[in-house]
Amino acid sequence: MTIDEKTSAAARVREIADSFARRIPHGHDIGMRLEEESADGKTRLRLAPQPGLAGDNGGAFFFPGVLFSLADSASGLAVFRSLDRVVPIATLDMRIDHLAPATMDADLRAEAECYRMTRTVAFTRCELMAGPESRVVAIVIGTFMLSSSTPRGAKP
Amino acid sequence: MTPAIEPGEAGTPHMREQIAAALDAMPYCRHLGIRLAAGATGEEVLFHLPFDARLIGNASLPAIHGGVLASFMQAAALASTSAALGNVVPPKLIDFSLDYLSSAGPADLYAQCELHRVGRRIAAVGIRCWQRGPDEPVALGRAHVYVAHSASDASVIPP
Repeated sequence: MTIDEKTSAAARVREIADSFARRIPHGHDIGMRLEEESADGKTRLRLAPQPGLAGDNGGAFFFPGVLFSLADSASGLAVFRSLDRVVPIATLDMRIDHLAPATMDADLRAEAECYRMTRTVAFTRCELMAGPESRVVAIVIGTFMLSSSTPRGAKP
Repeated sequence: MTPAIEPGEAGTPHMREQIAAALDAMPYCRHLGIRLAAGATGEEVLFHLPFDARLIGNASLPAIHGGVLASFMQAAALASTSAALGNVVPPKLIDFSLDYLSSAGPADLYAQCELHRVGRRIAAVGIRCWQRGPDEPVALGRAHVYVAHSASDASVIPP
């Protein structure tokens, strides 16, 4: 494979990954939005506050699971974008630490990266930011299993 | 002071009411449709999330979104802790760890909690989530929940 071919293969993987991320039914249900890729290579998703996403009847804070959903999708997409081919991935585990309350006075934002990739396992970390000053409110660490088989319909 | 939770108390009508009230106090749980399993006897507290297409995370498998599993299990942990302590102040999640054992297909989810320890401020909760039966869990979770015993206590420590 030439450098040009490699670059176009990577671009194609990203295109497929991003298109997959835009078609997550639960993502649509809660209003997740994918941001354009930036120079730092991080994967960014955001979510606007809505009364149905609150954890309290006063509507002041996001329910913690909403943060987990956004981090799960952002981390999975970060893994997909880091692959040089399209393979199915499965989340092995994910852990969230809540550092501060996630207030619903601004968009919730997730910034994920795949910081280590082996042949079988990918490791991710993700920060969640909330409030008008985009304060870090949670840290999420995840591991993903990469399938060894080539999925049907995927082109090498 | 550690609140005493008798194992047999978990399924009493009073406890079920408190758990239902705790679930009802979380709008996102209402949005997802999380409830106590209908027809459960007084023996156990069983959480139930009926399947809906909008819970899907991977349409090609299809599989329920990992965040939905997490939300369901967190809600179970928070409601169980809240009911065990008498709904004084809503409990808050400090951390949550989720092991995915198999992908959750397009079917109803069930969950049960075990309060490993309820201390003065922190409760350690284990959550088992399954579809076909409790012996075939799709995910296992572990949470630390912060429990304030008074409103003044609640304002001292975030989150």
